Amino acid sequence: MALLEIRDLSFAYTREAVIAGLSLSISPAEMVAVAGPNGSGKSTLLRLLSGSLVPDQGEILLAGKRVGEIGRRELARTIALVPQHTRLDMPYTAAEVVLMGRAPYLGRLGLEGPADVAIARRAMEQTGTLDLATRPFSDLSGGERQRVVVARALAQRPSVLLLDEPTAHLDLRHQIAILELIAELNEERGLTVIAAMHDLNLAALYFRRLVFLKKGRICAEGPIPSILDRSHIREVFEAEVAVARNPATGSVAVLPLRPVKERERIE
Amino acid sequence: MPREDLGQLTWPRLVGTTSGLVGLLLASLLGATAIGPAGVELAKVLVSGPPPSPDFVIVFEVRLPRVLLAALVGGSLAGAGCALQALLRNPLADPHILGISAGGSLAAVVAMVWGGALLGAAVTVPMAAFIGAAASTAAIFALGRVRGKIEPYTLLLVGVVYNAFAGAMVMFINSVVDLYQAHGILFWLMGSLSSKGYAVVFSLLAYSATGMLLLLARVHDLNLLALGEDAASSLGVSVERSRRTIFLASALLVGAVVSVSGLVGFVGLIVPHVTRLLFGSDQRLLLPASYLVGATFLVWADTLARSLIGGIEIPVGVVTALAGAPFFVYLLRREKQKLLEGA
Repeated sequence: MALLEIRDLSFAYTREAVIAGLSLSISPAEMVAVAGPNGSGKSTLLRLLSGSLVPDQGEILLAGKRVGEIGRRELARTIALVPQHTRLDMPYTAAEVVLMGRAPYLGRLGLEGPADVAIARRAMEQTGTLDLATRPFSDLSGGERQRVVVARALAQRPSVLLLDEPTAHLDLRHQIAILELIAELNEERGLTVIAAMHDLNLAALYFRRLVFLKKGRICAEGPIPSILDRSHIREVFEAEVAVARNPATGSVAVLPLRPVKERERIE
Repeated sequence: MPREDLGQLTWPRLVGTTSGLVGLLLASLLGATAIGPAGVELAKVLVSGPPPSPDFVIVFEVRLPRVLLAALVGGSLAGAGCALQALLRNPLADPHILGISAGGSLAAVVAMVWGGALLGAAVTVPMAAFIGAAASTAAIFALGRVRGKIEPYTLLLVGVVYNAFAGAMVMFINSVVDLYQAHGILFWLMGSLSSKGYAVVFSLLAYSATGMLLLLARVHDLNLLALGEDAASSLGVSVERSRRTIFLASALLVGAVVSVSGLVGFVGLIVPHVTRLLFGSDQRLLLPASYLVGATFLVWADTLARSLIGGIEIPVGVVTALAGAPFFVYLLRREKQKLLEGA
């Protein structure tokens, strides 16, 4: 059975639909990348899946149950979201941020118990952030912050991890480190991962399935080798690319090209 | 220290710090009650057969209600400031700066001048101030949002404008009422804690306790909202409901305070900030600690206000503003620095 079943989903912030009649089925332990131009609805889709937004039409079923009917706290124990940016104006320490991932498990006035602390500690070990524990979150670099936020999401002990452009604003080393961690969790723990990805090459390297979004609709979707090609990219991004193979891994590599007219003039 | 420790808040630290601050507050209440223009001998205060000795009257009828009132006003303002800073994700937020106090004071003035006959001023004025504060909170928040996001500087500008508007309305009312009423309004607006009885203390206690209990019930949400609405929501917070409760609680705290003591500014700004520097950001400790520190702070500010210049009483709002305004400028400059570094 599908873990997540999205049926005819529509959503609009104002009048214009950002998600327009989208249907998608995701099985447990899948790793799905969502790609598309700016404003295609990637972030909105993730926000709908996390329950932050309520769909105007259609429904999202989590293990057969409508997301809207699952309590917020119960949902937070199953689905975790890593937003694109996390800005924190108050001087919380990194460990305090990670421990916030335990909030869905705490009583109304409760503090984190030893078990919660152990889970948070483990999440910080996995993300290599334990050394940062007592540093103020707002003093950390972009890469460190992103890893702390991922640790917070892991502390929720979710079965679905949603990531909104997890590699944006990171240097190459940290991009790879984050995706390695996520791939590892996917393989070892069977964590289902859905990530909005801008970088198609990184998506091809780490993900198996790709969903192309355009104007809130699915333009194409399927296993990466079969849909990550010139014609789909032209259709979705209105950009010309050459598609080659990564000589080392054999994964699809997308190479941007200058528009045709420019090229002709050069030739 | 056990290996499992992440520097997180623990029960011993929470209980220890809170009890320590309660002790400090109680000591301050006692100390401040002993200070005043008239010399009072402790022995004479306690030995008081009927008729009550003058010393007994001074301590229990004049000083104690005033000191208790100062504590409640300070605590409520600091608690509201703490919650608003978390909700608006802005360390510069304060009921006074945002204009919530001004909105409450406008409604309170209207009630003072025209509403007294309705249910009696003791009921209508705090009620009106609460409604005024609640309405202002909603209005300021709606105006301070740009494309669904709260912009710190927009919010501060809205507060400035709102303050100016409500201030002008109060001045307008002040100019049309008779001289006696005008003087009363003016003195009240400056933020005074003088000569209020126990009835006012108990009324404020009820508002303050309700407001703080509402906030304490949302204390996790106050932490999680610091991460932003999406993250808070994905961690199980019902953002809209939580926000409404926090606004309502802040309006209860601020409205009741304004109706009793007028505009006592900057307590809601300074106290949570200093408390955060001392005890960290975790609201489970920060919120009660802010209340207790705010209460202690205002007890001493008021003691200073009534004993600084012999024979003359300075409104306590003047004392807090003199201390708070430079502090605000310091914070503003630091925030600007942070913004520039972040860019």
